[in-house]
Amino acid sequence: MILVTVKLMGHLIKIAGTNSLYLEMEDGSVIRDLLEQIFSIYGAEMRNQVMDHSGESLAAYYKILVNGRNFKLLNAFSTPLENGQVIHIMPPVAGG
Amino acid sequence: MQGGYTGKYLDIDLQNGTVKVLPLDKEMTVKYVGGGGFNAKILWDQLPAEVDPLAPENILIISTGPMTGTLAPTGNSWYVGFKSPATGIYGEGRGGGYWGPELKFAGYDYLILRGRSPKPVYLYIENDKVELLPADDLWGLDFFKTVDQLEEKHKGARVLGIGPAGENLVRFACIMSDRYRAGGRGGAGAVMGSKQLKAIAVCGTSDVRVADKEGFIEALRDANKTLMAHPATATLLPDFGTASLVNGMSAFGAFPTRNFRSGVFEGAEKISGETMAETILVKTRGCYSCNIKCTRYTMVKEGNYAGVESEGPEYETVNAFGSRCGVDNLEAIAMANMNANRYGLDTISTGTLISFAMELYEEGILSKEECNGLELTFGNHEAMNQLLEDIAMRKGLGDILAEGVKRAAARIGRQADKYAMHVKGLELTATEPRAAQDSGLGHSVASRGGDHLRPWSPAYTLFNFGSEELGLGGTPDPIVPDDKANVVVQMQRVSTFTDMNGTCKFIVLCNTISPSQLARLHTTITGIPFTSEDVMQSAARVWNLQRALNNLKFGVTSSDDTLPQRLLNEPAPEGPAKGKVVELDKMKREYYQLEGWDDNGVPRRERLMELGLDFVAAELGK
Ligand code: SF4
Repeated sequence: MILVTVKLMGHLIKIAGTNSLYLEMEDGSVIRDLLEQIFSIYGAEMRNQVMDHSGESLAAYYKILVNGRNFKLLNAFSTPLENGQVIHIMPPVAGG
Repeated sequence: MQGGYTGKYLDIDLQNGTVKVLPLDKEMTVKYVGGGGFNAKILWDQLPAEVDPLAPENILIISTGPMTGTLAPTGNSWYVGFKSPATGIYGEGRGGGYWGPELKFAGYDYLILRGRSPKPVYLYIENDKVELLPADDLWGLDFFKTVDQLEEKHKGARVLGIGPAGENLVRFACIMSDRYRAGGRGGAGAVMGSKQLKAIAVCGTSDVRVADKEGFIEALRDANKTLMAHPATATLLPDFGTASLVNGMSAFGAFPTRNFRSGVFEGAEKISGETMAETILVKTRGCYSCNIKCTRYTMVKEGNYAGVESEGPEYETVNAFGSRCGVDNLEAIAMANMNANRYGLDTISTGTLISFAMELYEEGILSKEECNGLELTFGNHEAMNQLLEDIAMRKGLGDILAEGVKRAAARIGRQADKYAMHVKGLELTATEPRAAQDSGLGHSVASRGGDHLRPWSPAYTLFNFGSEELGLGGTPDPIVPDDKANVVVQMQRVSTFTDMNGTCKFIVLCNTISPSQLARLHTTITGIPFTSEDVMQSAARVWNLQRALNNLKFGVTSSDDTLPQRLLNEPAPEGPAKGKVVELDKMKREYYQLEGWDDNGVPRRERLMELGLDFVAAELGK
């Protein structure tokens, strides 16, 4: 089994009622499996925020970071999960 | 005169109390637009190169842009220009609120302030009436009290001024307006203090004329539509303010922590915009003509810091007094923010100085006695708040730190400069460049020194807000130096234009409003036809003029375009950039090429001619 930490940000915290999740995933799981797991816990509201209409891509401006690296610079949805990873699900952020 | 400008400015000699009302030169509007463009041109023409920034001969310019005081989105900016007492080079800053529009309503595009008044004074402007009045009873007051007194005396006036930090010539004192708005990193407040000018209260009754009303309404509708559809300006800034960045920046390893030892702060969540919204936020506010309303009005209701109320703290301030000092107590940060505003201190520089002193204390370079008896460890927020006051009042260690981090390190000696986080004497801002290489380049070449807003390129490299018009798309890799010079150049142009036109940077920060939308707003307001290329070209002109001022008047060369050794030689200890340093040389070479600068970092003759800066080209090689 693999244990990962998921950090939620912005409006996602309201939907989940928390900003951190600790999830156990099966060996060989990838980011897509993790997202499905999260959507199965928090339902359609979470899915509709994070994914676009097709359900194949992230909603506009959403990002997923794997240990601080944008998952698009890795293997996107197929990025393998590893024990101890921190995954951020990040709505669009602004400031300066 | 065109729309957007009042057509007049004030030239004020504080030494002998004379005020001249002079006509605005049309060429200024066409070539330099306003704000930072006006400031750079006036300083080029009139400032003696060798002048001591705190001597009467330094010039302080406070200008506006053509959009200031119009209904253009965020048309509220005022801009200061001066020779910086922190850096000895070009100094500038921008503030929002309501003061800038009021100056336009009173009938002036900008003010030039010269000389030193023999006694403390303030300036009162009510349309055609312009008076220098005694400020003996205001001198020594904090900025909030100064505003209270002047608002009481001059009903309806808007107030800009300094707090005790400016009077005490703290080299990073800023100029404040409307109680909580600050401008002038690099010590504009000290320059104002050196002139014995406490405040400028202004009250006006005219409108700012718009050249093409119908066209403007169209352009405005289009711009507002974009702002309301973009997540940055429609949701994140209104809901969580600039501090919405805290968690994200820390996740990227780009949130400077403990004086840049690291870019990951374990306490980020406790001091984030999300936490602020749940705890100390009372309501949101906006500046003149702004629907984004990113400003947080906050109040601490219980605990040791009960009673603290202020606007903010903003992202930069949360970083400066939070993770940089190892503090994860939002109330303590709110206290430091409020006091910085009262004293008129730049929060970014002040936080840098305190975290610098904390590191020196932890490294055994400064003793407890030398630290005014404070246990100056990272995370000690009581000591942080005490030291802030000591800096403003120049007490003990505070007197040394009030000189800015570069001078303070030199005075302390004992290799303290190893821990001094600045570029050209201006303290660094809240992006860890090892995790966002572009930001390292941006800081190293910015015209006022270590600066985060010219441009805030991580909006693209970390947060992936691209721009079709600028050709920025996809997912760049923030921890490699490749292709970053072009990003910095493109975004710098747009960012510089908002330092000229009178708007707030937040309309372009995340590549929200495009150059062609800026051009349309500009054309319809001023009646001066501008294309998106003109936006980019005029910004390039002003940027290069600022650069030339630095090169030719103040002696800046390529060796000054650098970063603190820590960022160039010490690999990031953790986070996604673990093991990385900033690969500055490669990016800098590419950047110079794109800008048309020679190996010494000086704009080439051809480049200057192409930008219409012949008078600068004529000075090359002299
Ligand atoms: S976005 Fe924020 S800082 Fe900018 S004008 Fe609006 S309220 Fe003021």
